[in-house]
Amino acid sequence: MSEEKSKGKVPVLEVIDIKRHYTQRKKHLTADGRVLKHAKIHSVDGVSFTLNAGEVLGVIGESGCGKSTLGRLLVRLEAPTSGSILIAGHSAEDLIRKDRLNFRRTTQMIFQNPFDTFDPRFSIEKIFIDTLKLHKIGENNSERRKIVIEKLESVGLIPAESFLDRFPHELSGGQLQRISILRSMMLEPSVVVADEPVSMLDVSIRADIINMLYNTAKEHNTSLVFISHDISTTRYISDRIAVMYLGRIVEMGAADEVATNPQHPYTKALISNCASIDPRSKHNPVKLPGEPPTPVDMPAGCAFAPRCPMAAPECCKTGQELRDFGAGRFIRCMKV
Amino acid sequence: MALLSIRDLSVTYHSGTRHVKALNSLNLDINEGESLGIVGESGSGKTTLIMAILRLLPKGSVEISGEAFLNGKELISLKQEELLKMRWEEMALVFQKSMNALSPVHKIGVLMSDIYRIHKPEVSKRDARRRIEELLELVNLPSRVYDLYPHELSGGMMQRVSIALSLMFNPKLLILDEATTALDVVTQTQILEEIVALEKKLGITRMMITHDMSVVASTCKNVAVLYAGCLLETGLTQDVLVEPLHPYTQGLIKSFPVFDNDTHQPLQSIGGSLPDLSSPPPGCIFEPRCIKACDMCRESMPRLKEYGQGRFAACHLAGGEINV
Repeated sequence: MSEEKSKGKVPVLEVIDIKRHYTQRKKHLTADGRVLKHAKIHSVDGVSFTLNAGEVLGVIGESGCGKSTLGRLLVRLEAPTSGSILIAGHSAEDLIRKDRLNFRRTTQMIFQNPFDTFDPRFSIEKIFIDTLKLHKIGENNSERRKIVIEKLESVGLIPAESFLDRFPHELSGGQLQRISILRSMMLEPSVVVADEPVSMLDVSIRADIINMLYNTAKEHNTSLVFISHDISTTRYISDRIAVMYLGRIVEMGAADEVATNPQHPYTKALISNCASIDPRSKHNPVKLPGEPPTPVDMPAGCAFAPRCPMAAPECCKTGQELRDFGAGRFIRCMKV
Repeated sequence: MALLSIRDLSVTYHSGTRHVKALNSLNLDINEGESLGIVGESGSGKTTLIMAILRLLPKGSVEISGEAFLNGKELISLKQEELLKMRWEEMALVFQKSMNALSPVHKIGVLMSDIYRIHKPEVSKRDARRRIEELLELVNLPSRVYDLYPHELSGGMMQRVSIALSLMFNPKLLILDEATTALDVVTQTQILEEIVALEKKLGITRMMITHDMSVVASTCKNVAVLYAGCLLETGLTQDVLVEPLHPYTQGLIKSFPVFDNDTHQPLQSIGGSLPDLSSPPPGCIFEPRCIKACDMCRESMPRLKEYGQGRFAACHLAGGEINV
């Protein structure tokens, strides 16, 4: 971070220690029988990272680790409890207060289920043209229509005219997800958050969507935050990978480094459980005892310690810091 | 002898003027004690296949033809009373979403002992409870789960409850319909390992439906590739996934991101989408999406041909030669 600043390069996105806590309305019963009133759910609990222009950051973790909440915080669908998000050096808070429309133009999101992304009563043409109109692009509708057709054809939705009059339910999941990506990218945002964009789709068409997402992001020099639970896919698309566990980043580094040489015991376990499609390859998955915990009653020490195969008594007492191991590698474990 | 043999099974859904052929004269055998993985994209008829042999499809709008023999008994024409007896006891099914399969207003114990005592009415409540606690232990759940409601369990625990339910009467055939798809990788591997260990211990034959080929690669002995209701390739997993004969299987493997290799091989999709099964193409069912299709493929659907022991593929061009 400091290195980049000294070069005079401001990262497109800088996240400083953001937290998002929810308060539970019901009483919460902990595993050891205590009853908590107004328990805090630490969905995102102190996440910091920077993202440069055109970079792809993959975020992986089990369900409930807060990766989707992080995505929603980044595009400001939710306000963080504390911490700040800087977009090209300016606070997202100020940007959104000054000009909400312009903020939405710089940050966009792609959701998991394309069928829920669009209004089912709007035709594809209306979906695109409304967006363009709102952002005052194009003189009139026929000019906007031309822009849309050009965009659709650029991603292989040919003939584009035949798609314009159709409604979302008339398209396949893959086609609709392409349209969703296209709409998010149309205004050339500087940051796009893609939350599990291919997990709804069939394996046979995932590759096209992934490649299209990657190519459009690189073309516009857009920074991409790719949230997924699928490690292989994330490694394929990402420049860097951040591994999350219970609302915190436990390991971050270059994608190949993290994948081939994981250091944090949780990353090791995750990666060893990632099966190959080659039946000849041997894999010895690391077993993690217990269930993935809920981020309610956080342990005092390392959050992973209760399931960690390497845990020592001191791990349960003191919290761990995300330590810098050089070359952009960060690990939150005292044993490394 | 095969434990389950399916002969010429076809399923057609009728709706108004459309007749969708979801399964097209399928032939499949599973030997006792073996495991078969069925892969294919959504809409390829995987779930229809098991719903047909378990007779869970709605009557009226569905037309089923063909035969399915489980241990010599024909399932498609079996009487309702006999069928009810066979369910759970000889064949059991684990669904994808246990949260929807378990009753939210009953405790796990009540739910399980209900099923147990329907099949064995003479058993006392206390004995039923003992048997159920045994089952819970078998799938690595604490016995306190007996008194919990489904919403108090995590996804992995609920899936284990479903598996415990299916093992209640030591069924000969266990069918898993995307049973681990909704789980996290770590939990998924653990549950799969447990299932494999249990089936060795109890001598269960397993049929597994999934779209995740890595699951098949690590847990199944045989694999069958289904596409648009047709069986395109089948054989030992180690043969089919390493040297696929059918272009569809080859495409599926190419579109799967490989974690192990360090070279960044670009991922490739299979272009196009499933054909409309109410008006399928005249030739090979995969021809519209096949990159190797030739004139012959547009004319006739290739039949399954044997390529070595237990290895079948339905392609005119399989094995590098033209087969008529």
